[in-house]
Amino acid sequence: MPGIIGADGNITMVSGHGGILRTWTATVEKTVSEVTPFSNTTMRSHRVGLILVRGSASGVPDDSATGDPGAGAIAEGGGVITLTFATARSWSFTAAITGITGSSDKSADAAITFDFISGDADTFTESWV
Amino acid sequence: MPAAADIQTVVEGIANALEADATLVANTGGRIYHMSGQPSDPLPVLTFDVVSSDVTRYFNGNRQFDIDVEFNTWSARSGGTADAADSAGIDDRIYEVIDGLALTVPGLQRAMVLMTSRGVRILEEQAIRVVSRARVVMFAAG
Repeated sequence: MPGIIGADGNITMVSGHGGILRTWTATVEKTVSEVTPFSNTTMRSHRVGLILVRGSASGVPDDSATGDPGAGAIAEGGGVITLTFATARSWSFTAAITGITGSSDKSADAAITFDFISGDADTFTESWV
Repeated sequence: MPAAADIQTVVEGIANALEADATLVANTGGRIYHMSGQPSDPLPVLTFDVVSSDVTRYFNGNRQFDIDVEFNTWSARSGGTADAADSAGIDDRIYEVIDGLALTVPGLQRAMVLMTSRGVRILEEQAIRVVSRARVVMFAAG
């Protein structure tokens, strides 16, 4: 089985937030509760709970008419984002934008970064072939 | 990577800009070359060439090309006093001509030349070489 490379990746951003993106990163984590009973004598025990996703996506600003980063209209509950590793291999969930970082450098570079966290919908879908 | 034709267009655009500057032509005696001058050339001599080419890819298929161009100017060794016709003076003029120059490269956007370093002096036998670099940033839609 071949591995997946970044060139196979993609992102469908939350609607209303434009940018020409080239990298994304996301962490899927669960809340952790310790449930160690008094009877344990060696190891502490834990159970995990609900999923929390947080991450970011970066690239350059899009100068097209629809390329607005959307900083002035961030939806309170978020919107659907799809993070693709490769065709038919992706994570999709509702994400709320928590921050937008823009930068411009007179020596040529411009950048935009969107930070997101799982939004107000109780769904997380991992599609894998 | 940018196509050879794209790099050639950049080279020609820079050459045209250098050769269109009457001051630069006068102070180099017209000895402005892509890659290499002639062994019999008197000094000063100005050469330039592409020294690196990088591509950055985006999810939507867009690509950004960064092409680095190096300028070398040789002049006769002197007592260190810069004037317009020595390598330091010519190098200053290169900056005036090249920095911020917009190029037209078919199929690509934002082709702009930006100087990234200038004025590095190197003693070479009986000549002083001054080295400057520029970066050409171009964007290709996916």
